Amino acid sequence: MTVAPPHPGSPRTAFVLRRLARAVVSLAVVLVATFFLVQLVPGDPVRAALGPTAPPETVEALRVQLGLDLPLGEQFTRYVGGLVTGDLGVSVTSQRPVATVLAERLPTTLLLAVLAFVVAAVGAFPIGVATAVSAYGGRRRTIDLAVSGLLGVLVAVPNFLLAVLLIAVFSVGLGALPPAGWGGPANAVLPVVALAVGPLAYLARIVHVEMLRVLATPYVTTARSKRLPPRLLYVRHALPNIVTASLTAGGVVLTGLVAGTVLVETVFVIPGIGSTIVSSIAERDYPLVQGLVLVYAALVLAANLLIDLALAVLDPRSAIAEA
Amino acid sequence: MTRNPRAAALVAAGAAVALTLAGCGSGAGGGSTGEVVSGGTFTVALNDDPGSLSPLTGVSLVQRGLVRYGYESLAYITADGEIVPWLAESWQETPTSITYTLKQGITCADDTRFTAETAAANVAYQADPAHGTFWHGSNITAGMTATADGATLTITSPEPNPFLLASTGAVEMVCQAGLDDPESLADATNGTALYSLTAAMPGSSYTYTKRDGYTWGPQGVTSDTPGLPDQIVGRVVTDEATAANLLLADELNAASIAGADRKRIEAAGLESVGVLNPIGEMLFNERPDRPTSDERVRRALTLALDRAAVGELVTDGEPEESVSLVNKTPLTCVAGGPLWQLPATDVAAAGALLDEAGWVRGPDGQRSRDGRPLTIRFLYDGGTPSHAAAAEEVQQEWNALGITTELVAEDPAGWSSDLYQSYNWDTGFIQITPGSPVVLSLFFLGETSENGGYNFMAVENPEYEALARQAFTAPSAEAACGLWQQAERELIERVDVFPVAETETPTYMSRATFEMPGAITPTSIRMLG
Amino acid sequence: MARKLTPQGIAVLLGLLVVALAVVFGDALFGEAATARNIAERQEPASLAHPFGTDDLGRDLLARVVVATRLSVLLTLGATGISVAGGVLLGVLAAVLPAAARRVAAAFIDLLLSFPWLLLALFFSVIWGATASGAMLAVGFAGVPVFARLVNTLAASVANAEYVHVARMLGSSPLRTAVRHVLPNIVPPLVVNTATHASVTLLSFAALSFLGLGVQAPEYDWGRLLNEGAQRIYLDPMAAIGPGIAIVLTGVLFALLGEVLSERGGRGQAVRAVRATTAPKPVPAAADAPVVDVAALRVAFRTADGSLVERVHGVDLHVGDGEVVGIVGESGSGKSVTAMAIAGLLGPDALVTSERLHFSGIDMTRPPGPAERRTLGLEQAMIFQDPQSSLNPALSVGLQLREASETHAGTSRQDAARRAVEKLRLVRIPEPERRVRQLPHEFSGGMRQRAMIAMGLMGSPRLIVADEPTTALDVTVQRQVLRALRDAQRATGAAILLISHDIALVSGFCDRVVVMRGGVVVEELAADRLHEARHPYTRGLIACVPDLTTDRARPLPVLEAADEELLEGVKA
Repeated sequence: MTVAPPHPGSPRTAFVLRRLARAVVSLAVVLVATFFLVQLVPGDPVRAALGPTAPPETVEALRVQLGLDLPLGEQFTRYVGGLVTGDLGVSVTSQRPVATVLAERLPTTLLLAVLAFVVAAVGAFPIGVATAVSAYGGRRRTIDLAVSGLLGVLVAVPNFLLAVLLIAVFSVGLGALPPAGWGGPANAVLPVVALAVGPLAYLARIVHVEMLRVLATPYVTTARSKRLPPRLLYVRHALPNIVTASLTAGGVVLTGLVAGTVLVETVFVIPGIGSTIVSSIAERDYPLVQGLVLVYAALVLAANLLIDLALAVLDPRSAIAEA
Repeated sequence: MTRNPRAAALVAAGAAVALTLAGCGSGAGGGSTGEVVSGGTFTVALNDDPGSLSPLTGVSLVQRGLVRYGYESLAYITADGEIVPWLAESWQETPTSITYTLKQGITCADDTRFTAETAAANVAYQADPAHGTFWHGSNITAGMTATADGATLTITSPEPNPFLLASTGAVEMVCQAGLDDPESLADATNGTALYSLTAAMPGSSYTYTKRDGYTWGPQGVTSDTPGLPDQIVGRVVTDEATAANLLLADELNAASIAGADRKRIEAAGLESVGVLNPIGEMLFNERPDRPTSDERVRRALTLALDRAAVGELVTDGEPEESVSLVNKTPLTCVAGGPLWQLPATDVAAAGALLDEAGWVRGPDGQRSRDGRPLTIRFLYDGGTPSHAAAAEEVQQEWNALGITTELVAEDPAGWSSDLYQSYNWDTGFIQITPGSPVVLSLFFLGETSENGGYNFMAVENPEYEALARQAFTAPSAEAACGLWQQAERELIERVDVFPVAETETPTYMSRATFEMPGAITPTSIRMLG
Repeated sequence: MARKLTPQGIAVLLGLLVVALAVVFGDALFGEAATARNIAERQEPASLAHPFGTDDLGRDLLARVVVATRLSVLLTLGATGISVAGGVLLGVLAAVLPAAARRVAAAFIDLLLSFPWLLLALFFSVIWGATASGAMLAVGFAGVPVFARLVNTLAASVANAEYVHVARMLGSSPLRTAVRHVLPNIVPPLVVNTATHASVTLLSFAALSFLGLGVQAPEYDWGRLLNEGAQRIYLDPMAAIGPGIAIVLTGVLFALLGEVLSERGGRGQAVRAVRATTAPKPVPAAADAPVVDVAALRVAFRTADGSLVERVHGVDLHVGDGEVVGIVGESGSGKSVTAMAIAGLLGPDALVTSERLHFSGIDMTRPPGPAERRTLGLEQAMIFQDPQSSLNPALSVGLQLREASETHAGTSRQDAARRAVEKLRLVRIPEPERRVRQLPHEFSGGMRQRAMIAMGLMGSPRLIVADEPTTALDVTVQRQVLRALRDAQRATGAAILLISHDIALVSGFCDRVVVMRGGVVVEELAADRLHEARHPYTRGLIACVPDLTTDRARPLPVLEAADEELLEGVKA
């Protein structure tokens, strides 16, 4: 496949810039929205952080120290002012800078999500292609039904249930893998599998359907007329044409994975941002919640942006059509 | 909402004198299997992230547990309730003061010397209400003063206090640099302990490392005592089942398991140390607008309960009869009690009491008074696995009596807001874990939460108050304890509190033994080969 | 025409019926067992009496799972309803507003999408409190952005349709436009997606319950039962697996319902294929074999309901070396199917039977061997009707030209590339050196067809099958393509099988014309003797061609679609 590199002024560059601008604006709106949405959550973060027995003076002192006694408008200006310098405020619960907390935890979550995405993508393509090829034109209908049934079931299994079942079988039952924790490669196996299975099944179904569609197109008939070996037929001719739809689905998956880490990190006691978000909302740790939501939104936007860019490179028509 | 099995509302507080007490759960036993080996890492499960590590302001059980690894107190209370020297080698008491003589050569984690001046500064810091420290109001009270003279430290109380040793002796001492900059203690340790914090991954793990040259441990422990681990790692594992898995996978040396997973651990033959948990304790909101302000209603509610069933459920099958409202080491004044007895279930009597209180059944079977239905808002901890089932049982039993019971599963923020801000509750599984009747009295006497006090239930029990006042100034500990036990009976009689059942939460030991007077003592850890 | 339900569809409906029965009668039948407390039998493992075991209060978990169906399904439907209603409102609004407002609304939807749903649901459920209705609102609102985006995309395509433009120009207000013109047209895909979304919603409730934010005691849904069971999973796995099964199966049912609905909506369905099983016949030597030798060719396709429909009813065809043969007929006459059968390119859903179906002596009814594949790859060339889709849009034109000779003739990449440039030049594509590097979408329609011809010339073609190669092109371009085809034929001496509905084009281009109708050959004659055609259908076709002498005031003759008389004439 030959693709000319983008150059300034090309529709592709404009497309990229437009997408980038849109992502930045979105992030800004998310920031404002989160700030005020968090205020809707009932409960006093300082009281929650210090515990019921802390004397009122201590509570008040911390409130002043964290600037939570200021009017909302002023809190917001201070927050935005701090953002410019990379200061996301201080966690009410641990009284550590939110930026530090995120820096410690984000890489773990990212690694987890990316590993799961790679597993899902790498697994989905062969399965989707193989089942589509074997089912093409209604051949091997029973295998097709069995595989698509299995994939359908796997999509519908909640990832935390799968995680718990995996632990029950492989850790508690067989003692083969550590039941929780994070660190070595062995620790990553079960969480990544738990996180990847659903998306893998989902992607495989998309690939399957897309592959069936592509196999019925005239250009594949053209390729068939050349009597190309299956490898060239499926890999060279069919695969690139399912990329657009698969990547779009991949974007959905990636976004879902980012959210999926919340539950899986909780089950496997992985120190990522997913497990933090649950506790920080429970503790009404506003600054931390804000930081986390911002990071999540940025991740989702980045994932979408990446998918769009990948599409623009792999399938220039999408970018041009947009222009 | 975090899956934390420990009640968030365990209102922790201090300790006081131990007399001759049977320490709970000294079934530690452990040490008999395997050989003691020095070195290695001792990993213990923390059921929540501590957040701040400050020994001055930390209040949660996890925080207090971690404080023990980095800080030490003047005296050590053993698992058997005996008070032995630690930083102080000896002490002398008068009714209003105590004089400690510090051991020689005590040094801090930052290599400075720990002096009597620093110890006095600690007491002064804790005595200042503006600092809002954990021990303030219980073990160290506002009027206390401290002076240093060479190696001696004298702490003086404005009123007679028979429990000065147990209370002041238990306060963890912070080194001078820490006192000068208390905020530095949030993510570092600066104490005299055998271990000090060397790495922290908040939300994940806290690593403490043994230091050399330590000579002042309780019962003669030094850096060279065989069996001590080189490192102690506190690992945050919020889910009990996960902790059980890790324990069985040899990734943990210690974990508290309160729920059903006990069966698995015990099947694997692990030994345990028990810590009393008043998991079934019920308290009542006695503000005038609540139905529970009426003693008859409170009594009816408790009489209606099938205590065996609820106790079975709330302890997840391991119920024990409650013997005192004081339920934490050193269990001051528990021995010889209780003077009270819980009433037997009597549904008919409960109904009669409600009728008498004016809450009569309507045609639909629901009780109401002046057109207002009898609604009980029942709080329980969403994170404690056994609470939900027990609460459901309570609800069924009360509803059969024509009461409308609303169940509320609380998360930490919910607890704070319902108990201390909106006061919108009637009763529930709410526990107080005092180590002495003095601390217990903080919650049943004096100012209500509206006025900044600890009496969040708004209890006014004149009989209790009268006995407590006498006990405060009793000439001796024995006399004080006698009065306190009578006072406690008044609380039960007036149904200000209803201890349905308690249980012993086991902390399981794997390839190590330790003592656990409330929390694991690092100097007592011995690694097993 | 209502299509019959597939076995899959029947299974889904049966499953939904079971769920519906559990919703309606579950409480009446199992309510007693689901609420009867029995402390002595608490936390029993799975047994015959209690297939899923008992819970903390000794209640039968199977009964509780059945009874919980109602709340779980109602919550799911409620939340899905909120998502759909909110999404439709937002999405349609965003599609019919004036341009500027439309863009803002679309950006707003994008923005909402960048909040992960779980975060939104967490937020909402904390704000509204951890109750069943709070969870329903939370999950429902969290799903709004997804639907808004979907509806917006669907509605935007409808809103750009001409009839909507017309409505708008006639002064229809945005609201009116939305309700009258846009909404009705997006309902079918919306219904499909609603079913699929219900499946996702069900899982969302389970996730919320897992975090302790869903339904609270004493109410229970599957999520809460699952969460309670998960706490004891290492002791009694069935306590968690039981409700898990209910969630997964119902989720699958909803998802499958979406699929079934979308299939009913018209998506083609794969059909069982049957391969011909005629005994192999002796293969004549390739060199002296005719290019195409077909006798009694029959082709049938299996339809969705499983019955066979025959499209070609016994066709004989013979094409000699270098011969240019045209097949003429209206659509549905079986001409393309015949050509594809000769090329061996019918899909697996076609059932081909014949006395003889040979290309260059190769039996096309059997899978070709390696040598035969090579022959076919080099000696057969195909040109299809739609230049938009017959070249692979993702691969450069050069690569598509090169690959047959690289694969079958072992030509090196450079040689093949040089040859590709040569062949493009032969079909008169300007700047072929630059053009080989381009993707098909950078070619015009006529250029693409010529590139297809050039592709056929890369080997040593004996036959070029051109299936309506010019139908989709305008007249000038048609001429260029036909000239290229003619050039190709002259340069290689290949035979051509030209399929067209246009008898004028065929007669001008071919040596011989085969006329097909209704799957049979009605007449076959030399192109220059077309005027001698005896069959009324052929004569009708010829009469339809206007020439300079046609009276333009008169309507053109029309061929009756089902003209029995004509078919009678065939048999005679």
